[in-house]
Amino acid sequence: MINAEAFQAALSLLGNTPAAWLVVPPGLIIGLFFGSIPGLSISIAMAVFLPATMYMDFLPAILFLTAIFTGGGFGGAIPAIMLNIPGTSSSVATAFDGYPMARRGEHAQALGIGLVASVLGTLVGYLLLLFTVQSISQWVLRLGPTEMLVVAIWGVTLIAVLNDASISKGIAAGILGILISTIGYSDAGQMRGTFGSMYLLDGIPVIPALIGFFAASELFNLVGKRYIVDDSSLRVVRFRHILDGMGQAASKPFQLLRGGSMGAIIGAIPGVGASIANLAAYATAKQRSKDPESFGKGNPSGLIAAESANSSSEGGSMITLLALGLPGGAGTAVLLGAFALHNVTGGPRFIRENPDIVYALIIGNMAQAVLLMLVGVGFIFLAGYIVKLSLKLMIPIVMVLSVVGSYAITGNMVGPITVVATGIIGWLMRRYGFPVAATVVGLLVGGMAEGELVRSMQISGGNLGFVADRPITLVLLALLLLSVLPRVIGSLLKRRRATS
Amino acid sequence: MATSIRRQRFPLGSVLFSLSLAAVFGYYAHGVHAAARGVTDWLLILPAAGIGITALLVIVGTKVIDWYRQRDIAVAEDPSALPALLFMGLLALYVVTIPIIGFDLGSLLFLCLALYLQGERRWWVIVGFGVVVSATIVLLFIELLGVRLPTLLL
Repeated sequence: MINAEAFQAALSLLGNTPAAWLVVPPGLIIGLFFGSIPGLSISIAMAVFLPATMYMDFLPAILFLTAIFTGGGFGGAIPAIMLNIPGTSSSVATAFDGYPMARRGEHAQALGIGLVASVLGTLVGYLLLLFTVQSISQWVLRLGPTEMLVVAIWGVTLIAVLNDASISKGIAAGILGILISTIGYSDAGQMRGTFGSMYLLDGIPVIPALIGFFAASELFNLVGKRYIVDDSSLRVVRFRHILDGMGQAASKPFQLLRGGSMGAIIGAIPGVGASIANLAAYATAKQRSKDPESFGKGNPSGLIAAESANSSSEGGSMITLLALGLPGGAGTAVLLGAFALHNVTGGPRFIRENPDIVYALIIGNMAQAVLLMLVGVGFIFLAGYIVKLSLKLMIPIVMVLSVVGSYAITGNMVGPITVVATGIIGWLMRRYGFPVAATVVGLLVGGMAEGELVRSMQISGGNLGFVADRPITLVLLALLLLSVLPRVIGSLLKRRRATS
Repeated sequence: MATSIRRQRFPLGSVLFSLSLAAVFGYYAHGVHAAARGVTDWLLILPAAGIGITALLVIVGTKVIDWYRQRDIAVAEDPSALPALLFMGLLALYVVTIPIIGFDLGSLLFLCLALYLQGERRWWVIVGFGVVVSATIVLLFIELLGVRLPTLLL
C-alpha cells in the first residue's frame, strides 16, 4: 500500500528542506485570516499569494499554498460560529449548529470543537491519500490519450454541471475557459486569437487570469459592503472554554471518522468538493442521530460532522489533482496553477516519476494539520477582532497586491491587464449567474484536453470505432454520463414542473 | 442593503451578455478555422465553440421565456452595480497609468481614490493609508523579492 522507499526519501526530503517548514505557519495564518473574513474565500487567498510562490522551490511552494488551504478550511468556521456568516461556502453547515451554540454563550466551546474536527478531518483525508496514492499511481499508468481526454472533459463537465447555476450556464462558462486556454500559438504553429499582439503569442497568462476570475471579480462585488459587528460580547473568548470544546470533539472519534471519510470521498469528485461535503456529512449525522430534532439548535455533533468533512475534502481533492492533474474545485485549481508556475504537470507521469515528492506533500500536509491545532488556538483569541476588520481597507490592499503580483509573474503589463480584464468578465459572469469556477477549470485543463484530443486523433486515424477497443475509456465515459445525467434529468424535470 | 419590490424587468443585461459571449465564440472559431493549416488547429475549438454557442442560445431562450411567463410577478430590485462599476473603472485607470507614473505613485493614487470611493472622507486617513500601504507593497516586491517594478519616486 505504501512505497517504503519513496516514503523514506520523502522524510529525508522534508528534513533537508527547512524552507518547507518555514512557510507553513505564515500560510496557516494567511488561510485563517482570509477564511475568517466573510466574503474573502480560501481561493482568493491562494490566488493572491500564488505569485509569492514563484520565488520558492516546488515543495515549499505547494506546502505554503496547502497551508493556506488548511488554515482557510478552519478559518471559515470562525464567522460561521460567531456571526452565522459562513466565511467560505464550505462552512455553510458549520453555521447550522455552531451559531446556535454561540448564541447560548458557548462560542469558545464551538470554536474548540470546530478546530479539533478540522484538524482530525484533515488528517483523515491525507491518511486516505497516503494509503491509496500508490495503487492509484499504478492504475493511472493504464491511461492513454483517449482516457485522459475523457478525464479532462469529465473534470470540466462536472464542475460545469454540478453547481448552483443552470447546466447551460455551467457548460458555457467551462467552454469560455477552454477557448481562452487555446489563445496563442497552437502545437502546429498557428497564431490563434492574438489580434496580432506579440504579448499574446504565449497565450493568456494563467495565474493572472485566475487571480482576476477568482479574486478581483469577487472583490468588485464587495465594494461598499462592511462586515463590522458592534456587539462586543462576541469578542470575548476564554481559553478554558476552548479546551472544553476540544475535549468534547475528541470524545466522539466515530463521528469525526465518519465525517472525515465522507468528506475525503466526496472531495475526490471533481466539481463537488468541500461545499457539498460539509452539507452531505451534516445530513448523514442528523439522519443517524438519536436526537435529530436537536440538530440546528446547537448540537455539537452537527458541528463535528460539518467541520471534519469540509477539512478532509482537501485530502480527497488532492487525490484527483495528483493522480489525474484535475482540480476538484477552486482551491486545487490554484494549486494546479502553482504546478504550472514551477513547470510541473500533475497527473499520472508526475505521480509515477516523483513518488518521494508526492509522499512529502502528504506528510507535510499531515504535519500542517497538527500545527493548525497550535496556531488555531492562538488565532481563536484574535478571531473576535478579525471579523470586524473593515473591507473598505482590505479591498484596495488585496487589489494592489494582485496587480503587483501579476506583474511580477509576467514581467510586463500583460499580467495586470489580464487581472483587470478577467476580473470584469468574472464580475459579469457572477452578476448573471455563470459559475466562474467552471471557466477557471476550463482554462486549466483546456491545453491538456486539446493535446490529448490531437494525440487520440493521430493514434486512431480519425476512426471513432477505436474507442470501442479501449475499455477504460468506455468505463470513464459511462461514469461521466452516470455522474452528469441525474443532475441533467433532475434539472429538466424541475423546469417541466415549473412550466406546467 | 435595502431592496425595493418592482415588476420583473426584461433581463436585458443577461441576454446581452450571453449573446455577446456567443458572438465572441463564433468570431473566434471562424477566425481559427479560416486561418487553420490543418484539422488539429481547430479540432477542439470548433466543436467547443459550437456547444458553447448552443448553450448560450438556450440560456437566452429560457431567460426570455421565463421573463414572459413571470413578467407580472413582483421581484426584489437588484442591488446597484454602480460602486462595483466605479471601482472597476478606477482599477482599469490604475493599470493603464502604471507605465507612465509607475507602481509607486500609481498604487498611492489608487489606494487613496479607492478609499474615497468607499466613503472615507478624512484626508489624513486617506493619505496615510495610501502612503504606508503603497510604499510597503512596492518596497516588499522590489527589495525582498527582487522584482524590477517600474517606479517614479521610489
